[in-house]
Amino acid sequence: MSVDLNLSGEQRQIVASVQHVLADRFPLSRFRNTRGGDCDRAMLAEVAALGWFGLGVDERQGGAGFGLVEEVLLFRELGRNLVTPSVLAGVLGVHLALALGQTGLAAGIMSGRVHSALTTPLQGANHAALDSAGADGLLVWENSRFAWAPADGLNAAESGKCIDRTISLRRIALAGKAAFALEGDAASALWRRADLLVSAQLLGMAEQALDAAVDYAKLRQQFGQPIGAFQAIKHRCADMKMRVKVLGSLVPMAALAEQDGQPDAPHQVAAARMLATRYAVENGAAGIQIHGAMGFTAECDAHLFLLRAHLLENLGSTARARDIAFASMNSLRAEA
Amino acid sequence: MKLKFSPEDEAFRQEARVWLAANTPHGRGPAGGPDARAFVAAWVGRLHRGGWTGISWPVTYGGRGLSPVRQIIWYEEYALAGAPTPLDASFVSLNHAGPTLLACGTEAQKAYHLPRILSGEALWCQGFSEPGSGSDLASLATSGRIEGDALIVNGRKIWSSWADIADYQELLLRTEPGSRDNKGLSWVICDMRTPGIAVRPIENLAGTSHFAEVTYDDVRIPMSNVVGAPGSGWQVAMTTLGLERGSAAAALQLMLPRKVEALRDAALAQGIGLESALMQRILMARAEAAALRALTYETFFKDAVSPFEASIVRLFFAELTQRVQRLALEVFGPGSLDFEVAKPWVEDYLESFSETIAGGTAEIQRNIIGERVLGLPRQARP
Repeated sequence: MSVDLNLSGEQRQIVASVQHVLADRFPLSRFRNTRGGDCDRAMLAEVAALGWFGLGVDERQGGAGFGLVEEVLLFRELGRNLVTPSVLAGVLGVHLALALGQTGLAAGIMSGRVHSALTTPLQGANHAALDSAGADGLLVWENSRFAWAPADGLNAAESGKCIDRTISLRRIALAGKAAFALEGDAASALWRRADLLVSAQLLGMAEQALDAAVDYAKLRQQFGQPIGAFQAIKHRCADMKMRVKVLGSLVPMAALAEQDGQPDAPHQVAAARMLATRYAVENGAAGIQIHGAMGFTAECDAHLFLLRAHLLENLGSTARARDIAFASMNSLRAEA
Repeated sequence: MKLKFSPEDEAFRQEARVWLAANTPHGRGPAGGPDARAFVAAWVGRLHRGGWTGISWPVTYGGRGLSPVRQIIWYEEYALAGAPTPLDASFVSLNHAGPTLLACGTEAQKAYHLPRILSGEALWCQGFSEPGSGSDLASLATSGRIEGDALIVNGRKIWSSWADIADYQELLLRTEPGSRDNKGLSWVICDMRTPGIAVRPIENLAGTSHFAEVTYDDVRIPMSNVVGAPGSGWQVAMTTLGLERGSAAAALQLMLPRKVEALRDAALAQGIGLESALMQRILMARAEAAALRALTYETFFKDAVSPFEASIVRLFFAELTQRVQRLALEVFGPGSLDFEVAKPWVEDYLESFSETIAGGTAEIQRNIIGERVLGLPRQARP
């Protein structure tokens, strides 16, 4: 059939193997004792060995030969387990390096020799380097461009306290440091990839927040029955499920459109990014509420999804997504 | 995962586009009554002669036997052409009565009714809800007493859209005396011209009268009109509701992106720019309409984890439609005081209140999602 939205056998295998690794190496329980523990080199070397940095890269360029759709499947799972943004930095770094002919750097990241930290504008001249301990380079994603900057001087940088406390944050002044960059229209394809991978993570987070809330609603008893029996809680859970299903259909559809170069891809990708941000924040907040006072504690996982959603919503540019969504609204008509 | 149309599919798309450009009527049909019937019968008849009804129905019953891909291409082209809303007096027959017969009917029922449905010759209405049985549908009391080879029907149905102009009704009855809840029900084809049926149209809050109350006074229906086994009407009704909450709305769902674009154009014409908060909300609605399109594709091209997931799509579509219609009123501002100035948005806004009630209220859909999809426990019953 020319249209089939089921995962292929191979895609199901990718998801299963990623889930297996995440359950073993990145369980959510890892945040109970340590904060910001994802970014050590050993862990990232392991990720590299699994081939995740080159999953969507052509085999001739040293990758695994899959595409954007498979990357999206990977990032949905990474979102569920709140894996460090350094993996996003690595994947974007590989594609940036390849787009600019920096094959050595691409190979370095894919092999795990080069560790990159995601870097995003903060305020004024400052940038925030996320989970950057031991990083070799900074993958800068900011208005209209992607850049690669050397990480020297990072250790002297001032530490901040990230809204998502599972992530370490350093305030750095980047001015003039970029080694190379992709800007303007040339950056738009990488931007769409980045938006999709962020959307996929937000989807995974919205989904994990739902699962945790539903499990708790089945377990927690008040007034002599599980709280999930009450419509006030049940309907909140239903709304969380609705957001997951809606986003879970748009994100892969947008990825397919982008991978196939469909004319309406820019609109679908922008739409995915807009909805992903909103829905992940809403599910994160609903998850906290359903857990009651437990949800307000640091020891309950519920807040982690909300705080990571706030971190991801500030990557790239929501305003840009809206502008593109506006400008490309009639793209289906244009195609048709 | 793949989403690629073949050259044959694209040729079909062109064929549909050319036909629609030449045949789509301009403006809306009448809202109710005999004029609405004439308009709908003529439009469905024209579609049928063009080969555009029952695209994926079996050839044996007058369909074209084509793939779901062609069906969805047709819906997209239909939306793009701005053709009349499918939510008219042919909606029940084409979108859930016909498919229910296809799934559960006897050979004789299918052979008689399906070709008439596809040609627009027969229009159907639905008789499920009763004055005392709305969300608690299984408590229904309208009875069918078995007398020889016939059912003698007595009782009352309500909120039956197009009952005053329909030829047949999908009628859900209690046919086993003393049975309770969802046991002992039968799904029956009721000929609306049978003696003993009285139809009273009910004016809705938009001022139109396309739904009605139907009373049955010793109405005689042959036993051969029972669809599925007598007493198993609940299972058949679940098939109908599954369709009503699922694929039946596909064409309507694929129209929503165009509707939001029309609203964007109306907003721009009112001087509302990209920076305004109102336009930002229209943009968010357009993003959600893009997701609705993806959900519609999944209904056709992805194996469902649970049949009850259809309730999620139904709920999302209903509430999104209401958000869009509410935005329209804000776009038109004082102009929305006048049906004619803000045509057709005022009427559509008012009609949209039925979205979260018909086919199961939003609350019932959330119960279904909570209990049947997420596995949350039922509330203890008194």
